Amino acid sequence: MVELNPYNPDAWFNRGVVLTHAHRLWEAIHSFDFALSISSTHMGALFSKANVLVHLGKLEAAIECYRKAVTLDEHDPTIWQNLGSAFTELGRYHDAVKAFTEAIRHAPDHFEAYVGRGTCYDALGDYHSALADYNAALRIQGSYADLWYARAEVLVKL
Amino acid sequence: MEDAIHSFETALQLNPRNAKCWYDYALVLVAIRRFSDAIEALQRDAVLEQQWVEPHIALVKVFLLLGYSTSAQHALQRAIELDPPRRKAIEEELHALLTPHRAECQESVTNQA
Repeated sequence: MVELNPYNPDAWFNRGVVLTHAHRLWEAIHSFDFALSISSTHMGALFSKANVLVHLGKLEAAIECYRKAVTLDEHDPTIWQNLGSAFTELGRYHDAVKAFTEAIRHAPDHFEAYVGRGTCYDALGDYHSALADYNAALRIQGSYADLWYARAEVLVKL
Repeated sequence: MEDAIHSFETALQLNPRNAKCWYDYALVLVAIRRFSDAIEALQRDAVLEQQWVEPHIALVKVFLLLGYSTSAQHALQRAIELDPPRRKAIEEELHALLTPHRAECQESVTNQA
């Protein structure tokens, strides 16, 4: 398809998705970059590139992509969620809290964002806030064993 | 602490195979002096994660707190069997608690060596 229409960003994007599924991650990034060179606001390419960068452990580069993505669509909680997770991986808990808070602002029932933010509060020693977030997450999905365990650990520390 | 206990118990009902959770749950039970429940949790833990030495060390401590020196010796033997290079560290860790029962436990360690 990219040979038929090498200036079609969607074709490059789709190629990148297929390469991602085939675990040919650097080639996938190359394809997403082609899509972005044709259309710098191609959300799919930007978001997918960021996710692949996370898999490759290139967290700073991934964060840059997620940040560009949220400037294109600040209402998408999934981008904020992934941004928060990348910050968390880097131990940048304050930045992560801000990103997860945005995710929750746009999707008040976002289970993963509450868990992610609670984990950051826990790491920061703010156990009351961590507990509040774990409780909120458990109200959304109460059958998550690891979260009950994390909640118990926070209660012990309080 | 009751809320923490409830939270541990819910976690363990949902996933009874989480050995680390059983261990942390047991430590809280020890802290609130529910020793028999703690022993049960640590024994379940030891079955789940058979090569993990920590539940056995915790069992030694609980048994010593309760004055069950024979059980403590057995748990200590098992701990040393599982992690011989850590023998000295285990001995040091238990030193304070072992004091009243030191002779018996030292004998157990010597027999193991």
